[in-house]
Amino acid sequence: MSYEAVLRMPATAEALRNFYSWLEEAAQAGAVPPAILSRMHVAAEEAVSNVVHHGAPPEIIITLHVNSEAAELTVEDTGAPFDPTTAPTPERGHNLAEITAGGWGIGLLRRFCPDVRYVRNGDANRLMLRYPLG
Amino acid sequence: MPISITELGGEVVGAVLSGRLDIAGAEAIDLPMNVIAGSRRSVVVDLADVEFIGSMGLRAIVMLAKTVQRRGGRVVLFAPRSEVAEVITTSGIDELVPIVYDRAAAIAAVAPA
Repeated sequence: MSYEAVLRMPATAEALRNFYSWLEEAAQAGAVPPAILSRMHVAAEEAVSNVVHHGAPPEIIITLHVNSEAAELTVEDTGAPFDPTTAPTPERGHNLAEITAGGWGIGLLRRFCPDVRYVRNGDANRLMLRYPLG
Repeated sequence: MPISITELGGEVVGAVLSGRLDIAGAEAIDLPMNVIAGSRRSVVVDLADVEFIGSMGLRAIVMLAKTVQRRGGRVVLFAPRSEVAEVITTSGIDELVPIVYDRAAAIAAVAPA
């Protein structure tokens, strides 16, 4: 048995605000365990925010695919190439006065998804967040 | 509102956050957090009822802490759930703004000497 849901959203901050309600609904329909969904939410929000803020594509296509082995969220866009699996994480500041607020997204993405895969297909970025089930 | 303000005595204020501090949640707390940052010097950010925090929520907390510290004050984070705490520690923010799980200790940590 398998389940799939697809969201095509404009790469805007406004659309990003509504992303979680889609993810929550799709994850429930696909019987993704709540513990997986909450980790996926952290990783997915950072992944999609990155595309919105840095990639500037016309749209983002997000697919949730669930089968007996895994829940996989795929984020595809035709913006500037960006591989968060190899991008360096910004250096941490050592005191509050010197740190800039931000730059945590890549670290969070890697921490909250056990299996992150990236490919550049022609002019498209394809990022897959895979969570094994069972 | 995902934020309410509570006086904890001795000039200490509690910023009680709740729900999802995602992009929309972070926007909703932005202004009240700025008001606290500009007017108070002893702040306990109560995270016990926060279900989710992302980059934008972290940003709101760090901006508050930077401003309060610049004004000579102190901020601690109180009682986040395990996953919220994991987001904070993964980002290294707990090294700059301590996480405290005991309410009295949280108040004592920021109270004026």
